[in-house]
Amino acid sequence: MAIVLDGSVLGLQLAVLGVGISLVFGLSGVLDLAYGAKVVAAAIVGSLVLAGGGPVLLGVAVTVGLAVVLSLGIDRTVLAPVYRRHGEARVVLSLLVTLAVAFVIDGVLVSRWPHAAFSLAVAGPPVDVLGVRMRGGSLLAAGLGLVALAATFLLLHTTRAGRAIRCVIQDEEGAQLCGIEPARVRTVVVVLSGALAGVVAVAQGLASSVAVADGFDLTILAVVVAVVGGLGRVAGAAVAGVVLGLVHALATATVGASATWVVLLLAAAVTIVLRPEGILGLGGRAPRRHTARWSRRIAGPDRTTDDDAADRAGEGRG
Amino acid sequence: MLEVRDLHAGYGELAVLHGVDLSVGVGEVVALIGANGAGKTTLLRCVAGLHRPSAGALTFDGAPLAARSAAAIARAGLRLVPSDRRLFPQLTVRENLLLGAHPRRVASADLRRVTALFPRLAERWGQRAGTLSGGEQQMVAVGRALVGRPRLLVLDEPTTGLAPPLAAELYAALASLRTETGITVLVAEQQLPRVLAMAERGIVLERGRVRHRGSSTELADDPAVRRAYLGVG
Repeated sequence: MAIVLDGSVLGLQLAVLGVGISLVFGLSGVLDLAYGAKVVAAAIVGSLVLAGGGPVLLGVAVTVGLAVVLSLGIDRTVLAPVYRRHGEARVVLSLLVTLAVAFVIDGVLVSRWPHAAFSLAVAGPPVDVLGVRMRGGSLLAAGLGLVALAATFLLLHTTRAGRAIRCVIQDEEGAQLCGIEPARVRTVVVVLSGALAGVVAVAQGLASSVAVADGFDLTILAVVVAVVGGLGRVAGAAVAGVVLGLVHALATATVGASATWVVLLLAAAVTIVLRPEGILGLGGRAPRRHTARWSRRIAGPDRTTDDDAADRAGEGRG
Repeated sequence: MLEVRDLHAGYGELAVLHGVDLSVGVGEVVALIGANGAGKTTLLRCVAGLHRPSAGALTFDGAPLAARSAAAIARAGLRLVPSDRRLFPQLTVRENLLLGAHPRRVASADLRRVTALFPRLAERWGQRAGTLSGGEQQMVAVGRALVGRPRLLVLDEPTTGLAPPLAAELYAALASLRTETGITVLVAEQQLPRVLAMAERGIVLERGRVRHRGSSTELADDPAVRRAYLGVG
Protein backbone atom coordinates (compact mmCIF):
# COMPACT_ATOMS: atom_id res chain seq x y z
CA MET A 1 0.00 0.00 0.00
CA ALA A 2 2.82 2.35 0.89
CA ILE A 3 4.27 1.70 -2.56
CA VAL A 4 0.99 2.56 -4.24
CA LEU A 5 0.66 5.80 -2.27
CA ASP A 6 4.27 6.85 -2.81
CA GLY A 7 3.94 5.97 -6.46
CA SER A 8 0.77 8.03 -6.76
CA VAL A 9 2.39 11.08 -5.19
CA LEU A 10 5.29 10.84 -7.64
CA GLY A 11 2.97 9.84 -10.47
CA LEU A 12 0.84 12.93 -10.13
CA GLN A 13 3.92 15.10 -10.44
CA LEU A 14 5.07 13.13 -13.46
CA ALA A 15 1.60 13.54 -14.92
CA VAL A 16 1.78 17.31 -14.55
CA LEU A 17 5.26 17.30 -16.12
CA GLY A 18 4.10 15.16 -19.01
CA VAL A 19 0.97 17.20 -19.63
CA GLY A 20 3.00 20.43 -19.56
CA ILE A 21 5.46 19.28 -22.22
CA SER A 22 2.85 17.38 -24.24
CA LEU A 23 0.46 20.33 -24.58
CA VAL A 24 3.09 22.47 -26.29
CA PHE A 25 4.30 19.63 -28.48
CA GLY A 26 0.78 18.69 -29.49
CA LEU A 27 0.01 22.25 -30.39
CA SER A 28 3.12 23.36 -32.18
CA GLY A 29 5.51 20.44 -32.68
CA VAL A 30 8.04 21.99 -30.31
CA LEU A 31 9.47 19.41 -27.93
CA ASP A 32 10.71 21.56 -25.10
CA LEU A 33 13.96 20.10 -23.77
CA ALA A 34 14.29 23.12 -21.49
CA TYR A 35 11.15 22.14 -19.58
CA GLY A 36 13.02 20.71 -16.61
CA ALA A 37 15.42 23.67 -16.60
CA LYS A 38 12.45 26.04 -16.34
CA VAL A 39 11.10 24.06 -13.39
CA VAL A 40 14.46 24.27 -11.65
CA ALA A 41 15.02 27.96 -12.45
CA ALA A 42 11.61 28.83 -11.06
CA ALA A 43 12.23 26.71 -7.98
CA ILE A 44 15.67 28.18 -7.29
CA VAL A 45 14.44 31.76 -7.52
CA GLY A 46 11.58 30.73 -5.24
CA SER A 47 14.13 29.37 -2.79
CA LEU A 48 16.01 32.69 -2.88
CA VAL A 49 12.80 34.47 -1.89
CA LEU A 50 12.36 32.05 0.98
CA ALA A 51 16.03 32.32 1.98
CA GLY A 52 15.64 36.10 2.03
CA GLY A 53 12.91 35.69 4.63
CA GLY A 54 9.99 36.04 2.27
CA PRO A 55 6.72 34.40 3.24
CA VAL A 56 5.99 30.94 1.83
CA LEU A 57 3.08 32.10 -0.30
CA LEU A 58 5.26 34.76 -1.90
CA GLY A 59 7.88 32.09 -2.68
CA VAL A 60 5.21 29.94 -4.29
CA ALA A 61 3.80 32.86 -6.27
CA VAL A 62 7.26 33.88 -7.49
CA THR A 63 8.01 30.30 -8.49
CA VAL A 64 4.84 29.83 -10.55
CA GLY A 65 4.99 33.36 -11.93
CA LEU A 66 8.61 33.00 -13.00
CA ALA A 67 7.88 29.69 -14.72
CA VAL A 68 5.14 31.40 -16.74
CA VAL A 69 7.32 34.40 -17.59
CA LEU A 70 10.25 32.17 -18.61
CA SER A 71 7.97 30.04 -20.74
CA LEU A 72 6.46 33.00 -22.54
CA GLY A 73 9.79 34.80 -22.83
CA ILE A 74 11.57 31.83 -24.40
CA ASP A 75 8.61 31.20 -26.71
CA ARG A 76 8.61 34.76 -27.97
CA THR A 77 12.35 35.18 -28.45
CA VAL A 78 14.53 32.18 -29.20
CA LEU A 79 11.67 30.02 -30.46
CA ALA A 80 10.48 32.60 -33.00
CA PRO A 81 12.73 31.23 -35.79
CA VAL A 82 11.57 27.72 -34.92
CA TYR A 83 7.95 28.64 -35.55
CA ARG A 84 8.84 29.90 -39.01
CA ARG A 85 9.75 26.33 -40.01
CA HIS A 86 7.23 23.63 -40.65
CA GLY A 87 7.03 19.89 -40.31
CA GLU A 88 10.09 17.89 -39.39
CA ALA A 89 12.40 20.88 -39.71
CA ARG A 90 10.48 22.54 -36.88
CA VAL A 91 10.66 19.50 -34.62
CA VAL A 92 14.38 19.07 -35.14
CA LEU A 93 15.20 22.76 -34.74
CA SER A 94 13.06 22.90 -31.60
CA LEU A 95 15.13 20.11 -30.07
CA LEU A 96 18.39 21.96 -30.75
CA VAL A 97 17.16 25.36 -29.61
CA THR A 98 15.48 24.17 -26.41
CA LEU A 99 18.48 22.00 -25.58
CA ALA A 100 20.69 25.09 -25.91
CA VAL A 101 18.30 27.03 -23.68
CA ALA A 102 18.45 24.21 -21.15
CA PHE A 103 22.28 24.36 -21.11
CA VAL A 104 22.23 28.11 -20.66
CA ILE A 105 19.73 28.02 -17.79
CA ASP A 106 21.53 25.10 -16.20
CA GLY A 107 24.90 26.84 -16.56
CA VAL A 108 23.70 30.06 -14.99
CA LEU A 109 22.05 28.27 -12.09
CA VAL A 110 24.99 25.97 -11.35
CA SER A 111 27.56 28.76 -11.53
CA ARG A 112 25.58 31.31 -9.50
CA TRP A 113 23.84 29.13 -6.92
CA PRO A 114 25.60 25.76 -6.91
CA HIS A 115 24.16 24.66 -3.59
CA ALA A 116 20.73 26.20 -3.70
CA ALA A 117 17.73 23.98 -3.22
CA PHE A 118 14.04 24.72 -3.11
CA SER A 119 12.17 23.08 -0.33
CA LEU A 120 8.89 23.93 1.30
CA ALA A 121 8.84 22.30 4.70
CA VAL A 122 5.39 21.38 5.92
CA ALA A 123 5.12 21.26 9.66
CA GLY A 124 3.03 18.79 11.57
CA PRO A 125 3.02 15.09 12.27
CA PRO A 126 2.62 12.47 9.53
CA VAL A 127 -0.94 11.81 8.46
CA ASP A 128 -2.43 8.34 8.44
CA VAL A 129 -3.77 7.43 4.97
CA LEU A 130 -5.21 3.94 4.48
CA GLY A 131 -2.95 2.64 7.20
CA VAL A 132 0.17 4.30 5.81
CA ARG A 133 1.85 7.21 7.53
CA MET A 134 2.33 9.92 4.90
CA ARG A 135 4.18 13.19 5.29
CA GLY A 136 1.99 16.25 5.04
CA GLY A 137 4.21 17.66 2.33
CA SER A 138 3.73 14.62 0.11
CA LEU A 139 -0.03 14.80 0.51
CA LEU A 140 -0.06 18.50 -0.30
CA ALA A 141 2.11 17.85 -3.35
CA ALA A 142 -0.26 15.14 -4.54
CA GLY A 143 -3.26 17.37 -3.94
CA LEU A 144 -1.61 20.21 -5.84
CA GLY A 145 -0.86 17.92 -8.77
CA LEU A 146 -4.42 16.63 -8.78
CA VAL A 147 -5.86 20.14 -8.72
CA ALA A 148 -3.55 21.27 -11.53
CA LEU A 149 -4.52 18.30 -13.69
CA ALA A 150 -8.22 18.76 -13.00
CA ALA A 151 -8.00 22.46 -13.79
CA THR A 152 -6.20 21.71 -17.06
CA PHE A 153 -8.86 19.21 -18.09
CA LEU A 154 -11.70 21.53 -17.18
CA LEU A 155 -10.07 24.28 -19.19
CA LEU A 156 -9.58 22.03 -22.20
CA HIS A 157 -13.01 20.44 -22.18
CA THR A 158 -15.46 22.98 -20.84
CA THR A 159 -14.29 26.37 -22.04
CA ARG A 160 -14.28 27.94 -25.47
CA ALA A 161 -10.54 28.63 -25.21
CA GLY A 162 -10.03 24.95 -24.42
CA ARG A 163 -12.04 23.88 -27.41
CA ALA A 164 -9.96 26.20 -29.58
CA ILE A 165 -6.79 24.60 -28.16
CA ARG A 166 -8.03 21.10 -28.97
CA CYS A 167 -8.93 22.19 -32.48
CA VAL A 168 -5.53 23.66 -33.19
CA ILE A 169 -3.94 20.47 -31.81
CA GLN A 170 -6.05 18.37 -34.20
CA ASP A 171 -5.77 20.53 -37.30
CA GLU A 172 -4.17 23.95 -37.23
CA GLU A 173 -5.31 24.90 -40.70
CA GLY A 174 -8.83 23.66 -40.04
CA ALA A 175 -8.88 25.88 -36.96
CA GLN A 176 -7.77 28.90 -38.98
CA LEU A 177 -10.58 28.24 -41.45
CA CYS A 178 -12.99 28.46 -38.50
CA GLY A 179 -11.60 31.83 -37.46
CA ILE A 180 -9.40 30.60 -34.61
CA GLU A 181 -6.03 32.36 -34.34
CA PRO A 182 -3.32 29.75 -33.71
CA ALA A 183 -0.96 32.44 -32.38
CA ARG A 184 -3.45 33.44 -29.66
CA VAL A 185 -4.08 29.80 -28.78
CA ARG A 186 -0.33 29.24 -28.56
CA THR A 187 0.01 32.06 -26.05
CA VAL A 188 -2.64 30.47 -23.84
CA VAL A 189 -0.97 27.07 -24.09
CA VAL A 190 2.53 28.42 -23.39
CA VAL A 191 1.24 30.23 -20.29
CA LEU A 192 -0.58 27.09 -19.18
CA SER A 193 2.49 24.92 -19.77
CA GLY A 194 4.63 27.41 -17.83
CA ALA A 195 2.16 27.43 -14.95
CA LEU A 196 2.29 23.62 -14.86
CA ALA A 197 6.10 23.80 -14.71
CA GLY A 198 5.67 26.12 -11.72
CA VAL A 199 3.26 23.65 -10.13
CA VAL A 200 5.81 20.86 -10.56
CA ALA A 201 8.45 23.03 -8.89
CA VAL A 202 6.19 23.77 -5.92
CA ALA A 203 4.94 20.18 -5.63
CA GLN A 204 8.49 18.84 -5.79
CA GLY A 205 9.50 21.39 -3.15
CA LEU A 206 6.69 20.15 -0.92
CA ALA A 207 7.37 16.45 -1.44
CA SER A 208 11.15 16.67 -1.14
CA SER A 209 13.28 19.40 -2.72
CA VAL A 210 14.42 20.74 -6.06
CA ALA A 211 18.19 20.92 -6.48
CA VAL A 212 20.10 22.97 -9.03
CA ALA A 213 21.19 19.92 -11.01
CA ASP A 214 17.72 18.38 -11.35
CA GLY A 215 16.81 20.03 -14.67
CA PHE A 216 17.84 17.32 -17.10
CA ASP A 217 16.35 14.51 -15.03
CA LEU A 218 13.04 16.35 -14.98
CA THR A 219 13.17 16.94 -18.73
CA ILE A 220 13.91 13.28 -19.43
CA LEU A 221 11.06 12.22 -17.16
CA ALA A 222 8.73 14.66 -18.88
CA VAL A 223 9.71 13.41 -22.33
CA VAL A 224 9.36 9.76 -21.29
CA VAL A 225 5.92 10.42 -19.82
CA ALA A 226 4.85 12.38 -22.90
CA VAL A 227 6.07 9.66 -25.25
CA VAL A 228 4.41 6.88 -23.28
CA GLY A 229 1.23 8.93 -23.23
CA GLY A 230 1.41 9.35 -27.01
CA LEU A 231 3.20 12.55 -27.95
CA GLY A 232 0.80 15.46 -27.94
CA ARG A 233 -1.99 13.56 -26.23
CA VAL A 234 -2.81 15.32 -22.98
CA ALA A 235 -5.02 12.69 -21.37
CA GLY A 236 -2.49 10.02 -22.33
CA ALA A 237 0.32 11.97 -20.68
CA ALA A 238 -1.67 12.28 -17.44
CA VAL A 239 -2.37 8.55 -17.30
CA ALA A 240 1.20 7.68 -18.31
CA GLY A 241 2.56 9.91 -15.53
CA VAL A 242 0.59 8.12 -12.82
CA VAL A 243 1.43 4.67 -14.23
CA LEU A 244 5.15 5.46 -14.46
CA GLY A 245 5.04 6.92 -10.95
CA LEU A 246 3.71 3.58 -9.69
CA VAL A 247 6.32 1.68 -11.72
CA HIS A 248 9.01 3.94 -10.25
CA ALA A 249 7.88 3.31 -6.67
CA LEU A 250 7.59 -0.41 -7.28
CA ALA A 251 11.05 -0.54 -8.85
CA THR A 252 12.61 1.44 -6.00
CA ALA A 253 11.09 -0.93 -3.47
CA THR A 254 12.08 -4.14 -5.25
CA VAL A 255 15.27 -3.64 -7.25
CA GLY A 256 16.56 -0.57 -5.48
CA ALA A 257 16.96 3.05 -6.44
CA SER A 258 20.01 2.52 -8.65
CA ALA A 259 18.15 0.35 -11.15
CA THR A 260 14.96 2.41 -11.10
CA TRP A 261 15.86 4.39 -14.20
CA VAL A 262 16.45 1.22 -16.17
CA VAL A 263 13.11 -0.23 -15.11
CA LEU A 264 11.35 3.03 -15.90
CA LEU A 265 12.81 3.28 -19.38
CA LEU A 266 12.11 -0.42 -19.98
CA ALA A 267 8.48 0.10 -18.99
CA ALA A 268 8.32 3.04 -21.35
CA ALA A 269 9.88 1.04 -24.17
CA VAL A 270 7.43 -1.82 -23.67
CA THR A 271 4.49 0.58 -23.74
CA ILE A 272 5.75 2.19 -26.92
CA VAL A 273 6.17 -1.19 -28.62
CA LEU A 274 2.76 -2.48 -27.52
CA ARG A 275 0.87 0.78 -27.98
CA PRO A 276 2.72 2.99 -30.43
CA GLU A 277 0.00 5.59 -30.25
CA GLY A 278 0.40 6.03 -26.54
CA ILE A 279 -1.03 4.40 -23.48
CA LEU A 280 -4.63 5.33 -24.25
CA GLY A 281 -4.44 4.48 -27.94
CA LEU A 282 -6.71 6.16 -30.40
CA GLY A 283 -9.79 3.98 -30.30
CA GLY A 284 -8.76 1.43 -32.88
CA ARG A 285 -7.09 3.71 -35.36
CA ALA A 286 -4.02 2.61 -37.21
CA PRO A 287 -0.76 4.08 -35.87
CA ARG A 288 0.00 5.52 -39.27
CA ARG A 289 -3.00 7.81 -38.97
CA HIS A 290 -1.77 9.12 -35.66
CA THR A 291 1.62 10.08 -36.97
CA ALA A 292 -0.01 11.60 -40.00
CA ARG A 293 -2.29 13.56 -37.73
CA TRP A 294 0.32 15.63 -35.97
CA SER A 295 2.78 15.82 -38.79
CA ARG A 296 0.09 17.07 -41.12
CA ARG A 297 -1.10 19.55 -38.59
CA ILE A 298 2.26 21.20 -38.22
CA ALA A 299 3.23 20.64 -41.80
CA GLY A 300 2.09 24.08 -42.83
CA PRO A 301 0.94 25.25 -46.20
CA ASP A 302 3.73 23.70 -48.23
CA ARG A 303 2.39 20.23 -47.72
CA THR A 304 -0.96 19.09 -48.97
CA THR A 305 -3.15 16.13 -49.64
CA ASP A 306 -5.44 17.79 -52.12
CA ASP A 307 -5.80 17.28 -55.82
CA ASP A 308 -3.95 20.37 -56.82
CA ALA A 309 -0.82 18.99 -55.21
CA ALA A 310 0.83 19.24 -58.60
CA ASP A 311 0.69 22.99 -58.04
CA ARG A 312 3.32 22.54 -55.45
CA ALA A 313 5.22 19.69 -56.94
CA GLY A 314 8.45 21.63 -56.76
CA GLU A 315 8.21 22.23 -53.05
CA GLY A 316 10.23 20.12 -50.66
CA ARG A 317 8.56 18.08 -47.99
CA GLY A 318 10.33 19.76 -45.10
CA MET B 1 -16.99 41.73 -53.33
CA LEU B 2 -13.72 39.89 -54.05
CA GLU B 3 -11.10 41.44 -56.30
CA VAL B 4 -7.92 39.67 -57.34
CA ARG B 5 -5.46 41.81 -59.30
CA ASP B 6 -2.37 40.55 -61.09
CA LEU B 7 -1.76 37.83 -58.54
CA HIS B 8 1.57 36.02 -58.62
CA ALA B 9 2.29 33.17 -56.25
CA GLY B 10 4.50 30.15 -55.98
CA TYR B 11 6.48 27.87 -53.74
CA GLY B 12 10.11 28.79 -53.45
CA GLU B 13 11.58 28.78 -56.95
CA LEU B 14 8.44 27.35 -58.48
CA ALA B 15 6.04 30.01 -59.76
CA VAL B 16 2.47 28.75 -59.92
CA LEU B 17 0.35 31.81 -60.65
CA HIS B 18 1.49 34.29 -63.28
CA GLY B 19 -0.70 37.37 -62.92
CA VAL B 20 -4.27 36.23 -62.34
CA ASP B 21 -7.18 38.70 -62.38
CA LEU B 22 -10.52 37.69 -60.97
CA SER B 23 -13.54 39.38 -59.47
CA VAL B 24 -16.62 38.06 -57.77
CA GLY B 25 -19.61 40.36 -57.35
CA VAL B 26 -22.20 40.21 -54.57
CA GLY B 27 -24.65 37.38 -55.14
CA GLU B 28 -22.69 35.83 -57.99
CA VAL B 29 -21.61 32.23 -58.40
CA VAL B 30 -18.29 32.08 -60.21
CA ALA B 31 -16.69 28.85 -61.38
CA LEU B 32 -12.92 28.46 -61.40
CA ILE B 33 -12.12 25.80 -63.93
CA GLY B 34 -8.82 24.10 -64.53
CA ALA B 35 -6.99 20.81 -64.67
CA ASN B 36 -4.81 19.47 -61.88
CA GLY B 37 -1.83 21.75 -61.48
CA ALA B 38 -3.50 24.75 -63.10
CA GLY B 39 -3.17 26.72 -59.86
CA LYS B 40 -6.76 26.67 -58.62
CA THR B 41 -5.91 25.58 -55.10
CA THR B 42 -3.01 28.01 -54.84
CA LEU B 43 -5.29 30.85 -55.94
CA LEU B 44 -7.95 29.92 -53.41
CA ARG B 45 -5.39 29.51 -50.63
CA CYS B 46 -4.08 33.00 -51.38
CA VAL B 47 -7.63 34.33 -51.21
CA ALA B 48 -8.20 32.64 -47.84
CA GLY B 49 -4.92 33.95 -46.43
CA LEU B 50 -3.34 30.51 -46.12
CA HIS B 51 -0.68 31.24 -48.72
CA ARG B 52 1.19 34.49 -49.17
CA PRO B 53 1.26 35.70 -52.78
CA SER B 54 4.56 36.99 -54.12
CA ALA B 55 2.90 39.93 -55.88
CA GLY B 56 -0.53 41.33 -56.66
CA ALA B 57 -3.48 42.65 -54.73
CA LEU B 58 -6.40 40.97 -53.01
CA THR B 59 -9.36 42.91 -51.66
CA PHE B 60 -12.51 41.71 -49.96
CA ASP B 61 -15.32 44.28 -49.65
CA GLY B 62 -12.82 46.90 -50.75
CA ALA B 63 -10.39 46.20 -47.92
CA PRO B 64 -6.98 44.68 -48.70
CA LEU B 65 -6.43 41.17 -47.39
CA ALA B 66 -2.63 41.16 -47.43
CA ALA B 67 -2.10 42.10 -43.80
CA ARG B 68 -4.83 39.90 -42.39
CA SER B 69 -4.38 36.43 -40.93
CA ALA B 70 -6.28 33.48 -42.36
CA ALA B 71 -8.39 33.38 -39.21
CA ALA B 72 -9.24 37.09 -39.48
CA ILE B 73 -10.29 36.60 -43.10
CA ALA B 74 -12.54 33.71 -42.05
CA ARG B 75 -14.09 35.84 -39.32
CA ALA B 76 -14.65 38.63 -41.83
CA GLY B 77 -16.98 36.29 -43.73
CA LEU B 78 -14.78 34.76 -46.41
CA ARG B 79 -14.94 31.02 -45.79
CA LEU B 80 -12.86 28.48 -47.65
CA VAL B 81 -13.85 24.82 -47.73
CA PRO B 82 -10.61 23.14 -48.83
CA SER B 83 -10.70 19.99 -50.91
CA ASP B 84 -9.12 18.04 -48.07
CA ARG B 85 -11.85 19.48 -45.80
CA ARG B 86 -9.70 19.97 -42.71
CA LEU B 87 -12.28 18.69 -40.25
CA PHE B 88 -11.40 17.88 -36.65
CA PRO B 89 -11.36 14.08 -36.89
CA GLN B 90 -11.65 13.39 -33.15
CA LEU B 91 -14.62 15.67 -32.66
CA THR B 92 -18.20 14.72 -33.46
CA VAL B 93 -20.17 16.13 -36.37
CA ARG B 94 -22.00 18.38 -33.93
CA GLU B 95 -18.80 19.66 -32.30
CA ASN B 96 -17.25 20.34 -35.70
CA LEU B 97 -20.27 22.39 -36.69
CA LEU B 98 -20.32 24.27 -33.37
CA LEU B 99 -16.79 25.48 -34.03
CA GLY B 100 -17.71 27.10 -37.30
CA ALA B 101 -18.70 30.41 -35.80
CA HIS B 102 -15.75 30.93 -33.44
CA PRO B 103 -15.64 33.01 -31.28
CA ARG B 104 -19.42 33.44 -31.47
CA ARG B 105 -21.87 30.78 -30.32
CA VAL B 106 -23.53 29.01 -33.23
CA ALA B 107 -27.20 29.93 -33.54
CA SER B 108 -29.48 26.88 -33.39
CA ALA B 109 -31.27 28.20 -36.47
CA ASP B 110 -27.99 27.93 -38.38
CA LEU B 111 -27.55 24.33 -37.24
CA ARG B 112 -31.12 23.53 -38.33
CA ARG B 113 -30.41 25.05 -41.71
CA VAL B 114 -27.39 22.78 -42.14
CA THR B 115 -29.36 19.66 -41.25
CA ALA B 116 -32.17 20.74 -43.59
CA LEU B 117 -29.59 21.10 -46.34
CA PHE B 118 -27.81 17.84 -45.53
CA PRO B 119 -30.35 15.56 -43.83
CA ARG B 120 -27.88 12.71 -43.55
CA LEU B 121 -25.76 14.75 -41.13
CA ALA B 122 -28.62 14.57 -38.62
CA GLU B 123 -28.16 10.79 -38.59
CA ARG B 124 -24.43 11.20 -37.94
CA TRP B 125 -24.76 13.92 -35.31
CA GLY B 126 -22.80 12.20 -32.53
CA GLN B 127 -20.32 10.38 -34.75
CA ARG B 128 -16.66 11.37 -34.94
CA ALA B 129 -15.94 13.26 -38.13
CA GLY B 130 -12.93 11.06 -38.86
CA THR B 131 -15.20 8.03 -39.25
CA LEU B 132 -17.50 9.56 -41.87
CA SER B 133 -17.40 8.82 -45.58
CA GLY B 134 -15.80 11.35 -47.88
CA GLY B 135 -19.14 12.72 -49.01
CA GLU B 136 -20.38 13.13 -45.48
CA GLN B 137 -17.15 14.84 -44.48
CA GLN B 138 -17.58 17.26 -47.34
CA MET B 139 -21.08 18.04 -46.09
CA VAL B 140 -19.74 18.69 -42.59
CA ALA B 141 -17.05 20.94 -44.04
CA VAL B 142 -19.60 22.96 -46.02
CA GLY B 143 -21.90 23.04 -42.99
CA ARG B 144 -19.07 24.22 -40.75
CA ALA B 145 -18.41 27.07 -43.16
CA LEU B 146 -22.11 27.94 -43.37
CA VAL B 147 -22.69 28.29 -39.61
CA GLY B 148 -20.07 31.03 -39.73
CA ARG B 149 -22.57 32.95 -41.90
CA PRO B 150 -20.15 33.58 -44.75
CA ARG B 151 -20.74 36.34 -47.23
CA LEU B 152 -18.44 34.64 -49.68
CA LEU B 153 -18.30 30.86 -49.70
CA VAL B 154 -15.18 29.50 -51.43
CA LEU B 155 -15.25 25.83 -52.37
CA ASP B 156 -12.20 23.95 -53.62
CA GLU B 157 -13.24 20.97 -55.70
CA PRO B 158 -16.11 20.00 -53.42
CA THR B 159 -16.84 16.78 -55.29
CA THR B 160 -13.30 15.41 -55.50
CA GLY B 161 -13.33 11.74 -54.61
CA LEU B 162 -17.09 11.60 -54.17
CA ALA B 163 -19.25 8.92 -55.74
CA PRO B 164 -21.46 10.45 -58.46
CA PRO B 165 -24.72 10.22 -56.47
CA LEU B 166 -23.10 12.02 -53.53
CA ALA B 167 -21.61 14.64 -55.82
CA ALA B 168 -25.07 15.20 -57.29
CA GLU B 169 -26.55 15.43 -53.80
CA LEU B 170 -23.95 17.98 -52.79
CA TYR B 171 -24.55 20.16 -55.83
CA ALA B 172 -28.31 19.92 -55.35
CA ALA B 173 -27.84 21.15 -51.78
CA LEU B 174 -25.60 24.00 -52.95
CA ALA B 175 -28.16 24.98 -55.60
CA SER B 176 -30.96 25.10 -53.04
CA LEU B 177 -28.76 27.05 -50.65
CA ARG B 178 -28.16 29.50 -53.46
CA THR B 179 -31.86 29.99 -54.27
CA GLU B 180 -32.76 30.32 -50.59
CA THR B 181 -30.06 32.70 -49.45
CA GLY B 182 -28.53 34.23 -52.58
CA ILE B 183 -25.10 33.51 -51.13
CA THR B 184 -22.00 34.51 -53.13
CA VAL B 185 -19.91 31.53 -54.17
CA LEU B 186 -16.52 30.97 -55.79
CA VAL B 187 -16.09 27.33 -56.66
CA ALA B 188 -13.13 25.52 -58.20
CA GLU B 189 -14.11 22.45 -60.18
CA GLN B 190 -13.06 20.03 -62.83
CA GLN B 191 -16.57 18.66 -63.28
CA LEU B 192 -17.73 21.18 -65.83
CA PRO B 193 -21.38 20.34 -66.48
CA ARG B 194 -22.25 20.39 -62.80
CA VAL B 195 -20.51 23.60 -61.92
CA LEU B 196 -21.59 25.48 -65.05
CA ALA B 197 -25.20 24.54 -64.29
CA MET B 198 -24.91 26.49 -61.04
CA ALA B 199 -22.48 29.28 -61.93
CA GLU B 200 -23.25 32.44 -63.85
CA ARG B 201 -19.70 32.94 -64.97
CA GLY B 202 -16.56 30.94 -65.28
CA ILE B 203 -12.83 31.47 -65.47
CA VAL B 204 -10.58 28.87 -67.02
CA LEU B 205 -7.13 28.68 -65.50
CA GLU B 206 -4.28 27.01 -67.35
CA ARG B 207 -0.77 26.79 -65.92
CA GLY B 208 -1.30 29.77 -63.69
CA ARG B 209 -2.85 32.08 -66.31
CA VAL B 210 -6.44 32.88 -67.17
CA ARG B 211 -7.06 31.23 -70.54
CA HIS B 212 -10.78 31.89 -71.02
CA ARG B 213 -13.44 33.80 -69.20
CA GLY B 214 -17.10 34.22 -69.94
CA SER B 215 -20.65 33.34 -69.00
CA SER B 216 -21.42 29.73 -68.27
CA THR B 217 -23.19 29.27 -71.60
CA GLU B 218 -20.31 30.84 -73.52
CA LEU B 219 -17.83 28.55 -71.83
CA ALA B 220 -20.01 25.49 -72.33
CA ASP B 221 -20.23 26.31 -76.04
CA ASP B 222 -16.56 27.23 -76.52
CA PRO B 223 -14.97 24.48 -78.60
CA ALA B 224 -11.58 24.82 -76.91
CA VAL B 225 -13.10 24.53 -73.44
CA ARG B 226 -15.28 21.66 -74.50
CA ARG B 227 -12.30 19.82 -75.90
CA ALA B 228 -10.17 20.35 -72.84
CA TYR B 229 -12.70 19.84 -70.06
CA LEU B 230 -15.66 17.96 -71.42
CA GLY B 231 -13.76 15.51 -73.54
CA VAL B 232 -15.99 16.34 -76.49
CA GLY B 233 -15.91 18.62 -79.52
